Amino acid sequence: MTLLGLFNHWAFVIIMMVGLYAIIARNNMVKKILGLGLFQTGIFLMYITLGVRDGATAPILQDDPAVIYANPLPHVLILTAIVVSVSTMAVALALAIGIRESYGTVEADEVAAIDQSSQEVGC
Amino acid sequence: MLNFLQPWSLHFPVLLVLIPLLGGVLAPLLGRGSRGWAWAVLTMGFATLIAIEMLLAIRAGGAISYPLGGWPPPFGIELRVDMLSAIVALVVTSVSWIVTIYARRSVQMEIPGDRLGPFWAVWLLAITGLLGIVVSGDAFNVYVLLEISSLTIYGLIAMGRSRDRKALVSAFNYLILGSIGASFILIGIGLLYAHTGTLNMSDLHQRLQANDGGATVLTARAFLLVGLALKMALFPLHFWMPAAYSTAPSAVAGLLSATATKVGIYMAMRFLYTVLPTEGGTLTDPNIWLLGGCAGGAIFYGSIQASRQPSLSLLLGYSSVAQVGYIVLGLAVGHIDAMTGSILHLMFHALMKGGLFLCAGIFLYRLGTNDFTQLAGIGRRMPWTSAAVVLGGLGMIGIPGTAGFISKLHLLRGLFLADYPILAMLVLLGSAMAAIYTWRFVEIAYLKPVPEDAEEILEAPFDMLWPVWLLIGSSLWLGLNPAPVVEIATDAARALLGGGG
Amino acid sequence: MHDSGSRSHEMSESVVLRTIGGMLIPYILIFGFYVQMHGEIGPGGGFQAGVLVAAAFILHLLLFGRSGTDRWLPRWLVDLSMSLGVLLYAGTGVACMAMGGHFLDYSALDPTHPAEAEALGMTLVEAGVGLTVASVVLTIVRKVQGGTR
Repeated sequence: MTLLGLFNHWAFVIIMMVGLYAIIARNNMVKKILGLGLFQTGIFLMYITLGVRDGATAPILQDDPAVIYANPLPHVLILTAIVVSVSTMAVALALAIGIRESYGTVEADEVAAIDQSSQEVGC
Repeated sequence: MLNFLQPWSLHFPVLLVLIPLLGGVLAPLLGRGSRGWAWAVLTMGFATLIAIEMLLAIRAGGAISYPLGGWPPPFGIELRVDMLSAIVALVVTSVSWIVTIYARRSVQMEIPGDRLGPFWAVWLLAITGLLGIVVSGDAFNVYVLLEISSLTIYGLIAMGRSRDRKALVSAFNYLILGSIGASFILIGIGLLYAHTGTLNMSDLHQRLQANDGGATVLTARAFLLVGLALKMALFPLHFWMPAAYSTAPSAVAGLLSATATKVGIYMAMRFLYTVLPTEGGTLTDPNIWLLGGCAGGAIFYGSIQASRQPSLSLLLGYSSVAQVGYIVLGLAVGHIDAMTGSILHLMFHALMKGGLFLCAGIFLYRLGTNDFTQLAGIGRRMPWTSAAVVLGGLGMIGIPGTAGFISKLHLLRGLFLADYPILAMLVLLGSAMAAIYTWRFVEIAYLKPVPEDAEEILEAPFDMLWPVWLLIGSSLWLGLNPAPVVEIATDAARALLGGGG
Repeated sequence: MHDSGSRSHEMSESVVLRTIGGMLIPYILIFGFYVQMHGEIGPGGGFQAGVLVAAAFILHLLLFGRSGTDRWLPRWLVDLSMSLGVLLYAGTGVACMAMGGHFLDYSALDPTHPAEAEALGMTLVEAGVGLTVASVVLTIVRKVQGGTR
């Protein structure tokens, strides 16, 4: 149990940090969105780990009092969080498509350069 | 209480969320033209009525708890409304109602006709999410509703694309930062759940107070603090805010500055004082200095940046950064007077800054821009709008007679009594700097000559002007007759510092 | 953005794919409805069912192109059912409140038979969730496929 628990915790921290690194270090907006997805997936893993019990079964009512159930609440919570994450992804991709339509690129530095030059022309 | 509401009085907390939700899903069915707008005005008016009745009910009978689905807390999801939530709910509903009334012309100008139905739907859903956060008594529900409001707000900001394509980029940057912030809040709530096994806020507070859990709860606090600071745009995590507010459609900027950051601050008050463990009702010293330092930085940096921006919307955006600083300063030190000042400033700033952003929207509507280069001599060309900007600016400084004076007075008294004279000096310094950026507008609007090649322009239409003057005027009126508001704010502060709530 | 020339291009050109895929769609839909109706007491429910139903239409979209799907499932119907789902959900809750219970306290719907009232309430709420999820997922795919406008 201890080993499994610790393994999951290491895993979720590493997944989260990989995602966070991608958000910060990648210039491409779609890659940033993928990094965000990875970051949130790490958090889901943390919640699911909270519900784990050694030798437990699915939390469906049975007659045998000796049966141990896994805690279903974190799974329910994370089902909701997954939906939130999917919606975030949809909005982010819609924005990326819009940026591509009006700027012709989804590279963050190129978009910033276009904004900069159009501002100078404007002044 | 109005008679027809009597049978529903038990259900006020859930009605407050349901009314804008139902209004939001029905709005796109109404089609084009002004019908969506009229529907939104009707919906928000009804929600405001409910919020007023709820505030009165709580003042008479104390906090309301509402078990969703009839499951008793802490097992079911609880909605819980105390004085503080009722105040914030009233601020959110009433200011967004007035902004909605104002918004008809500016939205029709800035949003393409075929997007109007979806626009009003998203507008009402954003308010739904914000009101949900305010009434919720369940930590995980706060996260879900926070994401509902955030996702709709990203959409609202991006709808500024037809005026300025930079709206897409600022919405995207806000989305990335906002999602990271919300995810941090999710981690914090998860760690609290891992330690206590409950998600109900008052239950969490009791259990954490009994056993404050060492490293787990400390980590949770760190994640929550960073996430909340991102959401309420506390310096140094503020940089999404001026960009988002200046590129969003002008009515959206007014709505967000008056409601979204305020709800972020409300969440900080809720989590720091009524969820996480406190030390005899106040925060510990490292927390105070961390929050106080960030708030001080916000006041200083926000005011300096505000006085060197090229346009009125950007000036107002950075001024909001500074104003968030004042509110956080008051909530950090945990003295009853400072907390009262903080809650008062939350209310007054929503009125004043909402009105100011609407003025910026009026300039945009008439001139097509609110860059300062185009605003020269505007005080003679659009006297009513410019006068509203000046009065709002005086409120930001805190001139006696304006609402800003009342809140800053309480804040200063609290800071001195709690023995933080350095932080009190920062408040005074910030007010002086607010005078600089307000003077800058006065100089441009009244002292500079009108450019000779300027086209003839009219004063703003009356239906845009009166909501602005309602906001600015009510802030002036509250500055002269502060007693009832101060009383309810003190009640809320006392409940907050007494723990529980 | 798409002229009529590229519209025909959206449709899958393989006869095999179109025939086999078209045969699969009714089965996916029936499984979706099974999960929907089974959801109130067992694993399943509106959420999963909504995604399954949406998957059937997405498959149709991939095989027959946008104009092909629009003929079977007009866009105004999808937009309408997004709102209708939420209305069904919230309306059930409001009905519970009007009958004297709390929001979504299904047993208040029929005080003489609380167990049956709960089954009814859950079925209605799940139907609302399913309707909304299916139409939202379909809308997201359509929007991402054809730009934001």
